[in-house]
Order: sequence, then structure tokens, then C-alpha cells
Amino acid sequence: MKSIFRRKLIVGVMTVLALMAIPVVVYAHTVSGEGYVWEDGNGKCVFARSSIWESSGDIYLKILNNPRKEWSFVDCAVGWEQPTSWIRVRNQLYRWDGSAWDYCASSDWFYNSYPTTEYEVTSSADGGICGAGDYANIAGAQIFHNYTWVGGTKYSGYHYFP
Amino acid sequence: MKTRYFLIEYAFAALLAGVSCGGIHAASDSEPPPPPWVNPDGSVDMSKYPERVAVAGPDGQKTGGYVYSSDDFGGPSPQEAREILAAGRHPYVVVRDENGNIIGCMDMQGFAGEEKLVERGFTFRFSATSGNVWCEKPKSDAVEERYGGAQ
Repeated sequence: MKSIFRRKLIVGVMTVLALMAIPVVVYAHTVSGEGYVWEDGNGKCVFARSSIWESSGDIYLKILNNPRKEWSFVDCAVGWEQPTSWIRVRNQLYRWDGSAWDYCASSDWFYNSYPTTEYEVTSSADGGICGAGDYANIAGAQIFHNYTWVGGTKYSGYHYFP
Repeated sequence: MKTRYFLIEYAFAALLAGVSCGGIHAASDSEPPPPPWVNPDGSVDMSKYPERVAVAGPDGQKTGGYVYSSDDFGGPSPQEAREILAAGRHPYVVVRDENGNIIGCMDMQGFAGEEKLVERGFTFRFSATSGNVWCEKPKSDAVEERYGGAQ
């Protein structure tokens, strides 16, 4: 009997904790898209991750150009250091109007300010900056290679903002 | 018995996660498809990017302005970028009407960040202005040369 009571207590506590966690889950809900946006065929590449999430009512966008070193599966980009200003990224916020994607807001291009192998920029905007609806980050990630910008753009997937 | 409880707990957590994320999507009228210029794998084919895309205002309604791909998708070389950054300039996104006339800029909205980020980003939003249209900050002679001045 004591054991049953203890189990019920545990389940009850878990239920309360889980219900308390729902808002946390909502606010921490991140949607991301990632993958190669450029490959030269000789073992070099640019890898990007585009994300969108909500925090404290604000919209956050993030673009990561080239991987963290622990992402060993992206070996074509790891350790490929780029000089200052040779990596650039940009977040673009689009809103679904029910029939088309509208341009809502954008960051400028951001350039790496020191030599690095990876570069990450987070942009933010007021929640509902273009009204309630589904939003997506379409983020650009490029490097300057052989005197031209190479890379591409990545879709994050969409996220609803009230 | 322990395994059974683990399964129950796991199912419960999964249900909660589903409710929370599903609740987000249920709030939308319909699930949007990826933009037409996005491939199924999430990559973007810029050759499919429209000549122009409508700009949404703060209420979600169309502003009558458009972002033209010919304005916005080039960008300076690293050398030019260093000069721009050294001068403290931030080029804005130009907004034009359906005839191609400049009617405003994507104005800077603000920024925020978190501790772990490498760089903090700025976001720009639509700002329609009458009279002079400045699409770069701070004002400089280069502004008028690049984007035009009084309309």
C-alpha cells in the first residue's frame, strides 16, 4: 500500500512538473534547417543552420555558417579558417499571409570580425513584428572564395507567433 | 514494473511535447508550404526567387512596398565591407513600389542577444517615409549616390 501511494505521489508530482513545463516547452520551441549550401567538389564546403524560435515574446533568428568543431561529420568545413570579413551571414524574416510569404524584416549582412572557421549571428525582433502568424527565417551564409561570394541560403521551417 | 513506468512516463512526456508544439501549429489557419524558392531539402534556389516580394507591415497587412531581388542580394566584397563597417555604416534594405520607385527602407528595429552568441544581429523593419528617403545610416554623400535621395 505504501508503495502504491509512493508511486501515485511520484506520478502526481511529475504531472504537476510537466504541466508547469508546458510554457517552457512552448517558448523553447526552436525550428531549424541545416545542410550544405556550397561544395567545391574538392573537399571544401559551406554548411549552414537557420533557426527561428521565441523567447520572452521576441522572435529570434540565428544563422550559423560552418560548423562547430565537434560536428565532425561536416569534415569538409572543419578547420577551414577564413580571414576577417570573408564569412558573412544574414537572417531574413518572412511571414505567411495565408497565400504567400511576405518579407517582414531583415538583418544586414554580418561579416566575421576576426579570422575564424565558424560564424554565428543571432537577430531578434519584437514578437508579432508583422502581426500574428507563421514566420520563417531564410538565412544566407557565404564565404569569399576565389574572389567571389559562394554559399547559399537555408530555410528554417516555420514557427507560429501570436 | 520499472520498465512499464518508464514507458508511461515517456508516453506522457511525448504527449505533452506534442500538445505544446501542436498547439502552436493549431493556432495557425493553415500550415504554410515552404516558399516556392525553397527546395524540399530546405536549400534555396535563388533562380526561383521572385523578382520582388511584398513587404508586410506591423499589422501583417501588405504595405504596398516590395523588396526587389535586384537590390538586395549582391552585397559588397570583403574589402568594401571592411570600409563600410569602419565607417559605421549599415546599409538598409530598399523598399520600392510596384513601379520600382523607392518608397521606404527596412528601418532598424533594434537588437538583443544572448550570452553565448558570437555576434549580435540587428533587424530591420519597414519604414515608409515621405520626402527624403535615406537608406543608409548615418547619412553620407554615398547614400544619395547609391539609393537616391528626395523623391
